[in-house]
Formats: sequence, structure tokens, C-alpha cells
Amino acid sequence: MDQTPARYFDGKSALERPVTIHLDLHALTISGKSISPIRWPLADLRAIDRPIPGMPFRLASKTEPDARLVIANDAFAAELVKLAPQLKGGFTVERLKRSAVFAAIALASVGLLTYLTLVLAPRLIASAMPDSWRNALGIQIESSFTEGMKVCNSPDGRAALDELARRIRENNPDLPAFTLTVYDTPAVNAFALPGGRIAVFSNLIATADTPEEVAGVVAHEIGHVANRHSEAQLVRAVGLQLLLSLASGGSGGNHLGELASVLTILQYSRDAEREADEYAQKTMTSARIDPLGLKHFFEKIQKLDGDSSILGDLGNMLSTHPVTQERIDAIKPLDGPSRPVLTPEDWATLRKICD
Amino acid sequence: MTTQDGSAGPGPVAGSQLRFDYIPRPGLLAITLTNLFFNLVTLTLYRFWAKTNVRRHIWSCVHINGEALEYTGRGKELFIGALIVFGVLLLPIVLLLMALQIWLGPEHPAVFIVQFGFFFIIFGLWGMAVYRARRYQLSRTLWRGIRGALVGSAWSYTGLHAGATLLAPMTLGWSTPAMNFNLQERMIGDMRFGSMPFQFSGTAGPLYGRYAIAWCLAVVIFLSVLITGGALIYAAFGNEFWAILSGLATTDSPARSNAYEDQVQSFLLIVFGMFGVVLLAWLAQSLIWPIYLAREMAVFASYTTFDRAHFRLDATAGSLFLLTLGNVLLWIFTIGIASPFIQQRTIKYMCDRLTVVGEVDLAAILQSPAPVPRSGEGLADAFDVGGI
Ligand SMILES: [Zn+2]
Repeated sequence: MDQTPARYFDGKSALERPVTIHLDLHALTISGKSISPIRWPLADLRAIDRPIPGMPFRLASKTEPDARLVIANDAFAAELVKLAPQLKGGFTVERLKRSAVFAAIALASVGLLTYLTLVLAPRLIASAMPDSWRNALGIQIESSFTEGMKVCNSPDGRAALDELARRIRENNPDLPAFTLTVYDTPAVNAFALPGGRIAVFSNLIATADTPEEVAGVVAHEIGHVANRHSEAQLVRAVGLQLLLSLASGGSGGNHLGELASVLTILQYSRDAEREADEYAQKTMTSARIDPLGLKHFFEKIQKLDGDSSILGDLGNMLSTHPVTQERIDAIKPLDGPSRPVLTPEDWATLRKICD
Repeated sequence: MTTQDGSAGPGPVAGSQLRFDYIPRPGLLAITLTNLFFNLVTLTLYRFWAKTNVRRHIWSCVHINGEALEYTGRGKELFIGALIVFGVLLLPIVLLLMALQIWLGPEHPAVFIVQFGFFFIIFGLWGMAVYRARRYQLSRTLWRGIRGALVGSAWSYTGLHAGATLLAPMTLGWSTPAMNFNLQERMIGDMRFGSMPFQFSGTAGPLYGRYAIAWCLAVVIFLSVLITGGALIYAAFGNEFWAILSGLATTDSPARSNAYEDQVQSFLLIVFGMFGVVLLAWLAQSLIWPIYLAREMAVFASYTTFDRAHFRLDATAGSLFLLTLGNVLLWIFTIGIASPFIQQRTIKYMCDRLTVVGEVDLAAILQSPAPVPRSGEGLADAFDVGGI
């Protein structure tokens, strides 16, 4: 069987042309009353749909892209597919190879895009961001997540806090500019925000036994400020939101984006924490502040983790600055003698800053 | 074969009857599961290819005079369309908003103005999304190798659509039949199959009888839900209701009493009661609107002519309601996974009930000269415009 009637559409009009098609090893030849014979090389053939026995088999050819040929003869179609195996559809080695290449390219672009958005862009943009932007951002973020919290600002307490900041700056001329604010909250935490704004929660001061512990935490936050971690994290959160909204379409991304909120911005990676710890160690060494205060505080925080439920989302320092044994072990004592951060009187005043 | 168009060349005007059939092919389930898998793996980025696979299948099941439709769209084209909209529209607006918020603070009026402008753009461009998606789909739909086309201006349709959306609430919905008529007139008037135009003529008048019935029923149901709901709540709690609400508002201290627990329970009861009432109202609404929609579909079909044939769609309120109910249940019980089957049901419903009365001169239909858009549906994807 190398010949059968078929239906031919020339792609120029919607008229159906009954034809006879003839199959040889190299081509299909289409001939009929109203048309001069047309040759479709087998290599140029393309199946519109997979051949299914009992259903008309539709073909196109590169020779005439708009034209269509419909074969209703199953046996003939089977013979044709044998000679032109690309018509069979389904999985062929060629197609599998193409899919694999496509998947590899797609994966590589997703990986590159993710790296750009989550690693490279945050670092570059954070360090290039002008100070006016950093300050404006910091003020907004601080006011959004400390909404309803009381600022602790008793004049004496404020003076003690300024003294603590001055002590940290001693012999540290390269320290970035920072502002300290204490908020009256039951949470044990502290944050570094864009523009060098550092927020300390009152219960952190209450939980600390010595001013060295508070100074250690503040030095750690200054480490975040110096490395612009919160700026980078902010860019990362925005980039992630854009990436998600691109992936899932305009409306879907926004819901996911809401999750990437303040908490995500404040949640640093282990690398960032290590950087901030190293910075704190260096700063405290220059200022002759005993780093064991920070060590004790971290140990205390680690034990607190058990009742994190009563502290809420922002309450647990572990949730925003993951404390690990590795971090605790990395904190080393000073070589020589240390000098106290605050006098006992100033320390007592600082603890009453919220009164 | 009912066609008699085998004779070559233009002779005496020869006509053919047209007949729509939906002939299912195997494979939709496999497509659905493959799409589900890749959508999960790619955070739904695969949706452009998924949509394309489903369309190609469903199109190939729709037969006119025994010849299947062919969908030639590519997932890549939809993806590029979405990328363009993201880069040209969404990204600049988001970045502008972000920059303004940083410079001026989130409460500055300029931020609100830009935000409002953003929503206005989305609202205004909705018609554009609908029109361009239709243009893309028609350009990718072939029958006997001949393409469809949409040849009018997207902007004039967009303006009309925005006007219709504004008018509807201002007229309590009574402008809807007239505006739907205008939109349909514009859309069908711009539609071509190959070189041959569709025509649409009639008046919106015959739509209003059914609209009045559906509208009055909807209002009656809305009011009765409101009254029964209110009465139920009042009967259950009496004057305590306000006490409960105000109690909830003031009891914000950590010291929680038993009374507080009781109040929370009654409050939950009220919430669940209201939820039930709203659900009932929603069901009732979806029962009512097919009364009008079936009429609208049938009337619009009867206004549509193609060459010397006109269309007839035997849509009835009952059958449309059953279709909708089935689709909704299918969607709910498969959490949307079965949406290809929902599309199939809808298309099959149309094919089963659509007849073409009169004859079409197929020899006069030449290949469409309209330019073929290279990418598509970016706006429709961004706005989540419904459809297939
Ligand atoms: Zn930290």
C-alpha cells in the first residue's frame, strides 16, 4: 500500500481538496484534479497531533507551512510513520536531548537569577546606597515595627546609654555612625536597621547582669551596621518578592511577598552573624571591654529559647540572630586587663531608663 | 462529509453547512498531571507551557465538519509576553513606588497618588488584557490551515470596557446588558476567520426581561439573607451582641477571665453563622445569574453572522447552572488541579449546543492577511484575567 485518498488544504483558502497521496522512500506526493502534483520531502513533515489509530492523522510540512494534509487511512499512516519516525511523537532520543538541554539552560538561568537577586545585588546595592536613603529607610522600618512601643528616654538613663556608646567608641575611630534607642518591651532582643539605627529592647537590659553584656550586644549590632547587613537584607527581601511575583504572576506573588516582611529583613544568615561577632570581638578588644559579657549573654539567650512562646515572634533573639554553640565558642577573652564599661551607679541608672 | 466544496474555482456561489462537534481524545489526564508536577517544581513558572498544552489538546477535540481546530501557540510566546509586561509595566511602577516611599515616607500624599494611579492603570487596562489575549488566541487558532484574527483597535475596546466597569455600580447594574452588548458588538465585529469577517447586529432590548428577573431575585435574596441573618443573631444573643463586641474590644490585657473565653465562643459562633449565611447567599446568586447569562449567550449567538449563516446557541438557565455547579464542585474537590477538565466541560457545552444556520462559501475564505502577534497575553497573565 503506497497510495491512498486524503484531504488536502492548501493554506490559501478554506476549500477542501480531495487528493491522492503517494508514498515513496523520500517524499509524499500529493496529486488531485484541481492541483498540480506537490512533493513533501519526508524529512520536512511534522505531525499536528500524535497519530492515534481510528482518528484522522494531520500533517504539515516545512515546504508549505500553512498547508495541511489529513490521512484517514490507519495502515497508510503507520507505514508513513515508519519511514518518517519524527511523526511518531512521544519520547525520542532527539527530543529527550532537546528537553535536557532546555531544562539545563532553564535551571542555569534560574540559578543565576537567584544568585543575582539574593547574593550579588544585595551586596552591591547595599554598599552603593547613599546615606540619605539608608537613613530614610531606617526611620521608616523602625517606626513600622516599634509601633505602639514606648521609647525609654529618662534623662539620666539616656546619659548612661550615651556613656556606654562612648566607651564602645574608645580606640575605635573607624566605627560607623550609629544611634541607640531603647524601647519598652518584654522581648529580649536588639536590632540593627539601615542607616545605623540600633533598637534595644528594655528586657534585654533587664536580662543582662553586667553592662559588658549590653555593650557586647551593641557591638555586635554595630557589626551588622558596619557590614550593612540590614540594607543588604532589605534589598534581598525586595528582590525575592519581585522574583516570586515574576514566577507566579502578578497577583500570586504579593501574598508570598507579604511573608517576606520585617522578620525576613531582620533574619540574618550564619555568615552575617559570624561577621558581626568578629566585628564585636575586634571592637571590644580595642576598647578593652570584656568579651566574656557577650559570651554569658549568648549562653543565657540559648537557655531562654525553651520559653520562646511567651516572647512572641520578635521576642526571641534566636529567631533573628541564631545563636549557636559555635558562635559562643568563637568568643575569646581579652589578652590583657579590661576596663569596666559603666560605673555601678551608671549601670543602675541605665537599668531604670524606662521609668 | 456534508461539504460540497470539492469543485475547484469560483463557480456559482457554492455554500456549505457548518457543524460543531466535540470529539474527545485520550491524553488530557496525562497533560493535567504533567502540568501539576512541573508547576510545583517551578513555582508555577511552567504555567505558560501548561496552558499551551491544555489548549492544544482541547482545540484538537473541537471539530467543524469533521476537521479539528489546531492551536499553534507556544509556551515561550506566553512567557515572553509576561516578561514584557513585568519589565515594562510592573517593575517600573513597583520601583517608583519604592523610591517614593523611601524619599517621602509611606504616608506622603504622593505615594497615595501613585498607588491610586497604579490601581487606575490596572482597572483601565483590564479591557486591553482581554482584547489582546483574544487577539493572540485567534491568531493561534487554525482550521483547515486558515488562521483567525482580531483586526480592530485594542484602545477603543479598552476605553469601552473601562466605561462599562464604571457605569455598572453607578446604575446598580442596569447598564450591564447594554454595555455587554456594546463590548460583544465591538469584539465580534473585529473578528475574522481568514479573510472573512464576523458580523454582529441586534439590540440590547431582548436582554432586559431576563435581567430584570435575575436582578429582582438577587435583590430579594440579598435582603432576605440580611434580614434572616440579623434576626438569627438577634434571637441568639439579643442585646448581648453589642456587649460581646465591645467586650472583645476592651479586653486586651493578658489577664484573661472565663467571661472572656465565653465572649470569644459567642463571637466565633456569630462568625460561623455569618459565614454560613454568606455561603448560602453565594450559592443562591450562582443559581440566579445563569437565568440571565444563558439568555445573553443565546441572544449574542443569534446576533452573530458569518457569511450567509447565523449562529444559534441553545443555552438554558438550567443547563448552564448545572455546568457551573459541576465546574465549581470539580474545582473545590480537586483544589483547582482539574481545571483542564473544567475548561473541557465548558468548551464541550458550547460545541454541543452551537448550531450554524445557513451556508458559508468556504472557497471565499482566504488566508488571514492580519499580522500575527509574536508574543501574547502578558497583561492577562499579570491581572489574572479569567478564561482558557
Ligand atoms: Zn546579629
